[in-house]
Amino acid sequence: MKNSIIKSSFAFCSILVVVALSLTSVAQARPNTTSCPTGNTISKTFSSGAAWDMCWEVRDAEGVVLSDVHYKPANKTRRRVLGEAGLSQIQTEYDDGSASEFLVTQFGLGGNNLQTLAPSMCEGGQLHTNAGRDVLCEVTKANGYIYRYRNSTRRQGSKLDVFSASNINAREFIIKWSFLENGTIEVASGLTGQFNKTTTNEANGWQVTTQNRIATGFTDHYFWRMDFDIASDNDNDIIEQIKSVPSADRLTKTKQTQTISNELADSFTPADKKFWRIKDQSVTNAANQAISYEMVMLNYAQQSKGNSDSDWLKNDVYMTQYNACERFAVQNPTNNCGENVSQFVNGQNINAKDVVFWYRLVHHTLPRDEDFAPAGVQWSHFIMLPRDWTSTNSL
Amino acid sequence: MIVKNSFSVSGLIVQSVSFAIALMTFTAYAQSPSHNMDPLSFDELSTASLLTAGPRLAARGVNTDVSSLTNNNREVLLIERNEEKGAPSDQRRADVFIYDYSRNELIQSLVDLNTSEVIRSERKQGVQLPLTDKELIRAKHIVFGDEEERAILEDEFRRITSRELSDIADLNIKAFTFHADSLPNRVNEASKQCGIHRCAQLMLYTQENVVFEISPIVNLSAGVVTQRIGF
Repeated sequence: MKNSIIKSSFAFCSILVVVALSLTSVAQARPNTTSCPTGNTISKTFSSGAAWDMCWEVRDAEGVVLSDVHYKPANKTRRRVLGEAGLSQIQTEYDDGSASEFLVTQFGLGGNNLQTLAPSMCEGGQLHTNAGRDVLCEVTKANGYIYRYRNSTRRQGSKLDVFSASNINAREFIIKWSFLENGTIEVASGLTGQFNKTTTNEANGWQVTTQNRIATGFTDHYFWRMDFDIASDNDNDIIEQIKSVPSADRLTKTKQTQTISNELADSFTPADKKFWRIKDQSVTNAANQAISYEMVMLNYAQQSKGNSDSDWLKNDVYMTQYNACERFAVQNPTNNCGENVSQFVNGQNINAKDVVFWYRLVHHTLPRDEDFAPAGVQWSHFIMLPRDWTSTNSL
Repeated sequence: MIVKNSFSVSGLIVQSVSFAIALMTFTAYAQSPSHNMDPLSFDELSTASLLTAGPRLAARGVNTDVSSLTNNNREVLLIERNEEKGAPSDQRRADVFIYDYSRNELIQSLVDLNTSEVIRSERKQGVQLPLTDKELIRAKHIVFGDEEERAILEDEFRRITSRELSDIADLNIKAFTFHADSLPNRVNEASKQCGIHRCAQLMLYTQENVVFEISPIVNLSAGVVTQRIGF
């Protein structure tokens, strides 16, 4: 009797120890990956089984940077999409010709400019802390229809929103990443806050009658930097340019696919529906198609080359081979590197390499009376869409 | 007897639970040393600063003694974790950026925090990182130490507030590095050096968030106000 009790107790205690070790292992499984700063992890599994996980960190210049972003379609394999992604510069040009500001390198989206988020700004979500302050919100929201086909086939989905806010000279930037259940990534910068800059010529701004001043118009160039590391090998990504070119009689469109061999600066051409996708050289879906993400641009109406003749404003996108010192799209300070993204494009091979996709997203603001004050949020966004990530719709 | 045994068993369970908790704590502790993605600790920041800037400048990195900046002619601008894709998980490295005012050069050093060695150090001209708090304070002192400049700013304050500026502490001031090439054809001769020299453009605004329509440019390398531009 005594022995059996002791044996049982010993067995129970052994289980406790094993459970404790297991708990340690499970609770820290993600943080222990050396890809994340300790504790800076976000993961979400939707009811369908689709899931996202990623790391985050705050840098003085870029603010919140995401890394090691993985997507797992429902009932499918979890795979990496992005090695790192963030804003690499915001250039503000004023309509009256005042000096350009480079917000990421001259002021920084992180540090004291990164705003503390109140719980009310993250309702239903979870706030994440950096240097003792709540600066990042993670929240899951309903996202409407994923698909619908008559009344018998329909599904509504959810998304994971991850956002922060930075205040620079009274203007405020909400930087938001949305990770949808179907694998889509929406990237958005929301401009709000106060527009304090004034000018003397109404041709360069808008008369704000209640404040008896002319608010200056301005253009923000958001330079997003996406280091794609699709699947487990980050050195074998391929960029393809795909166009659907109208025939002379404009009755048909012919698809033209081209692998980008060397670093490239280019722009969108809505007439032939040009876009780019980043695909893995070896990993395929169950139908033997290379898994990839395509860049979906939604900003044709706002894209412009800016006021100056700067080389880095001449193109919408830049595709480069990964180089750790190529960090800021403009005012890049590091040695042995170009000073801006146009100089990063210097002929390196990007066919089956570790590639970085830079996107210049443009937004012109001509202030309105309603913007005073504060200004309503103006969103500028684009999408990264899975293409052939799965062989069929997994939801 | 059974009671006694039960007590012993309970004790064993308590001990085991304690052991399990201790084991979890130990496991967590054993995993606590920083890996290459973790932010720099205060000690690591100090080490990086000492190795690259020397004890005097490193110590200044944590105070706001504006006068000492001009004595030493160097300013620690930024220390951050070095990003290196695929680096060993236990590698701890820092990038240190120091501005050398005497030569108007940015010194960028890569420091190995595991071995306390400077791996390499390079100089570059024309690259201007954000201003430190000390540089902002110094720029403010230069502007308001210039009698003509101060009078102009007091007039501007009076114009936009209908009040007298009794104390510059009543002003909010932000500043950013200024490059002459960001304002082509509008900079004067004195400001043309900005970019090679380290310059600050000041944005001044009242406690009520009314912005001054004039914005001084200060050449921190030369210690003078070079121009006022509209803001």
